[in-house]
Amino acid sequence: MKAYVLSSSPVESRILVNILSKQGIATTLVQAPDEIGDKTSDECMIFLDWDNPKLSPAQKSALCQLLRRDAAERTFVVGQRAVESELVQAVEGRDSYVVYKPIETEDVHQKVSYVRKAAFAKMKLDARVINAFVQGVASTFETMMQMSPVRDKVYMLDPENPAGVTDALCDISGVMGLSGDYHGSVVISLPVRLALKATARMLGEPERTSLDAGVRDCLGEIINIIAGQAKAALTSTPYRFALALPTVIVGKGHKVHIQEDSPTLVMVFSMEGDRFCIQVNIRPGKPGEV
Amino acid sequence: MRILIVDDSSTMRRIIGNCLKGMGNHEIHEANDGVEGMSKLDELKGVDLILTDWNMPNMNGLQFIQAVKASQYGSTPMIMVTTEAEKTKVVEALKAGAKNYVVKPFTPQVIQEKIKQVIGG
Repeated sequence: MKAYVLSSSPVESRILVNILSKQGIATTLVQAPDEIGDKTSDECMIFLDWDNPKLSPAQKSALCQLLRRDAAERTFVVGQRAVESELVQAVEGRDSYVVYKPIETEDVHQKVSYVRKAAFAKMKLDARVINAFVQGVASTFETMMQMSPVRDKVYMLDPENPAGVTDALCDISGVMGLSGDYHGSVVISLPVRLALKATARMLGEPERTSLDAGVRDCLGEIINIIAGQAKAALTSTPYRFALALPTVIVGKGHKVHIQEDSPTLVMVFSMEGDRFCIQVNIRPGKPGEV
Repeated sequence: MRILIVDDSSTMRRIIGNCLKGMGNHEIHEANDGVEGMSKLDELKGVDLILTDWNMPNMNGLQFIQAVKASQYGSTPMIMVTTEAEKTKVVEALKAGAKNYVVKPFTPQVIQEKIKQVIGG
């Protein structure tokens, strides 16, 4: 998620930016309501400084109404306890929040965390997308490597705990970017032993002893084929995207950070005594986004 | 027969090469992208068959097919081997001059069959 801070105070704006950045939230400072305008969406939170002298009480109430309509559950009114009743009235009957000054880190963290979890709970990934990638994984391994992956578990990655993917699965990852009507990425992560075995089967050669250039290239090709299969299966759905060139990451227990503003599906598969996982992150492309 | 495999993945070049070995004693050449593919054609003074990927850096497979068709090697039969499986993409490649189309993932039998269809073996 992203945040907009509408405040005339550079000091308090900076405090909010620092607090939010610790939660991995990118913040944009704005001086006037129209700078937020139509940017409100499920992906953003708005912090409105109630002490902003440029806004009259009537303007603030009107703004709250507008934000409530466009960004319900994601508006935070920031003000002094001295005007508590005014603040409470501003958010009354709505799922917005009051943050009192002086701004306390823990208070903001708790409220933001709740909002993110609520937004996350609403995130769903279309079963067609899930099935397309599951099928892509199965047909790629079965056709190219004569290996039969079995789906172990499928879950949505918790944005509050992005370390949800087991480190033990992440010795080597192949990453494929998606662009077009839908944006995102597909990541396959494997432990060393399985990566070496898959490469040997795919090339019809003896197993290598390390994650050398050949294994890395092979992983890039595997994720390329999986994403291509899913893309083809989704042709007749709104989920249309183009494939980028694959990249490969090597390192024990590495993390692949993916965009936080959209749901990430994690699929864990078992195969020949080992496990590997596929992460799929996909969201509608934004205007002007390439 | 001299065959040129154009693919930015060394893995895929090797897999296709292994499929071809099962079809007889061919002379196999490789290129990493379309630009390198054109250079190889000049270097070899042409080949008998080209298998090319679609998504590659510098010059993609479609551009490569178009470049080959527009060159002195325009009569060389070409097969697109790609993850792009949409019907519109297949039509696009065939219109550009590909003689056949293989979607990844594939088995060695599929590659061999498609080559036979093109070269009439």
